Amino acid sequence: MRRSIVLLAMLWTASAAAQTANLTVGVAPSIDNTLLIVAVKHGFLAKEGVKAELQLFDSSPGALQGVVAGRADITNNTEPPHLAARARGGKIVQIMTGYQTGKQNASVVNETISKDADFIGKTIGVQRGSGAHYHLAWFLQRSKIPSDKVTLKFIDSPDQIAALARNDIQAFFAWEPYVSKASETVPKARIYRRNEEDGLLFSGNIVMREEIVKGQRDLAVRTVKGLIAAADWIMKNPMDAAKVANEVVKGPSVEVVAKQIQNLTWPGDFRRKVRDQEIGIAEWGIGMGLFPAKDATKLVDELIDPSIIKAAAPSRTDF
Amino acid sequence: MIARPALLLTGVSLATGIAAWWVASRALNSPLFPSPAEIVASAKELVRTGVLLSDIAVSVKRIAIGFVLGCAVGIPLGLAMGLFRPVRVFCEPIVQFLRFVPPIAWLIPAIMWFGIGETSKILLIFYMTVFLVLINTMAGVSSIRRNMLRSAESCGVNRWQLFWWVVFPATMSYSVAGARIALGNSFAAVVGAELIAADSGIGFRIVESGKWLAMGDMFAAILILGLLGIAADRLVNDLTSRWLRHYLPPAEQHVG
Repeated sequence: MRRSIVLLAMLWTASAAAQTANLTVGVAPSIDNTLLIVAVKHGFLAKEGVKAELQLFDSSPGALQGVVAGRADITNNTEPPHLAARARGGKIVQIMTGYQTGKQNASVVNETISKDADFIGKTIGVQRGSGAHYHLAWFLQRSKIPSDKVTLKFIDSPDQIAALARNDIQAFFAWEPYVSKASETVPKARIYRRNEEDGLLFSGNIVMREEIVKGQRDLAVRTVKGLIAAADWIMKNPMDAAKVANEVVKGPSVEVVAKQIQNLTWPGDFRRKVRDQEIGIAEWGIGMGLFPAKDATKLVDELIDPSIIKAAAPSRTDF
Repeated sequence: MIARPALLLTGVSLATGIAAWWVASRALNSPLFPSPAEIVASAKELVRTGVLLSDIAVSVKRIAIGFVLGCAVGIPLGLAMGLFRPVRVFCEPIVQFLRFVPPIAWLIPAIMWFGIGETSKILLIFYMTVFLVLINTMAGVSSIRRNMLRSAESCGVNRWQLFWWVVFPATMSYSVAGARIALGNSFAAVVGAELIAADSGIGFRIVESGKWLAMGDMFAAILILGLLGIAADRLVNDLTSRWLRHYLPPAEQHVG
């Protein structure tokens, strides 16, 4: 009897081990990575039989490079970096939307700007090739301000606050926490407009190594199922999600992190409108020389693969 | 003139390095590790579009201004600190403190105080240069043997002649050695300096290309940075050997 129980236990362990697949999840200490952090740390991937571990990188571009180099299997990033990676031969595939936001990006201005036309003749800071840069290009086009009527200064987001304080620039386009920080610390600076007020939604997207998507399809499908469950949980429990995320993000407080998490929505889906916007961003990036490609639609269609979410949760996609 | 065996050995060394790189890039087969041919193709494209030459011009200008200003302040101050005890006592605590704070630590204060223009970038290269030249010059003054000063004084020279004929020549080889080390470090500092709100320069190109996974461009810029460093060192060596040969010991005139 005892021997049978031991044998059964051994068989069960062996079968569980066979079903458990390993996944290295590349994250940076940033709110953007909340979905991946929660999916690993709160056990959503484990519930799907995915044995996942977090691999911490210094930045989101660093994590993306990690996926391209094979040091991580999956990460989250905005459109321009992963379009660039794919265009340069990085074997990565976008399998679902991580988050969407209309509030994360914004323009910040000093007292010299009170309306759109005031941007003319001003120097504007922006991080080259970022979503904020796309926001700026979008804003200028929407406000009918010719791009040669403003001076662009390419500055990394953390340095923009000091540049605004010194009046080296009169406005900048960036994302949280820099936009709020500038409006709190620089005298007479204020948030001019959030990206949703300019009619623009940004996405963070989940990208995975193509080798897994093609060669270990079951692992990819189970991962997406775990991420969808994590996304739904974050939407219902932002404070608990903030506690989990803050173990990695190390924000000033759980409350601050929770507030930032609520600036984003976690749809746990993959919709056609994301592809359409991505094509727009690809066209802009190709025009800027950021991505070595000729056809924006072809580049985006090579990057995205909705078949995984179709298999994992057909109701979560309209592809 | 390099002897033929030495030239051959240099060629073999370079070929080995390139071959090892090629083998590694083939083995890894990753867009993060381009082959030498891809790097050369990227460099050609950067030259064709004018980007690389513009980056070189910008970085060289920043290094040249920062380095020359660093030498212009470091050498006289080093001489003054070496020769006059009150100056040394006054300046030494500040110099000793600052020389242990690396330029990279000043990146954020530099942008806050001097803005996003050229000043902050040139200042970091100046900072890199000044202490190395100053400390070496001071060491040069301390190395002068008292007997040498006494024998000059016994010949009836005045203070100015003593400085011009004895102290200055004796310290020059130290200052030049400090300047050469500082020049090498300036090429390292320019990468840090061009992290500050730069939109051109070799350092900017390295960082920006890395961000966009344009690894061919990145390694082309690294290659150029290294080659520029060697060229600048040769230039300083040749100029000092030519113009200051009376002040340098014979061995120093042929260091290459």
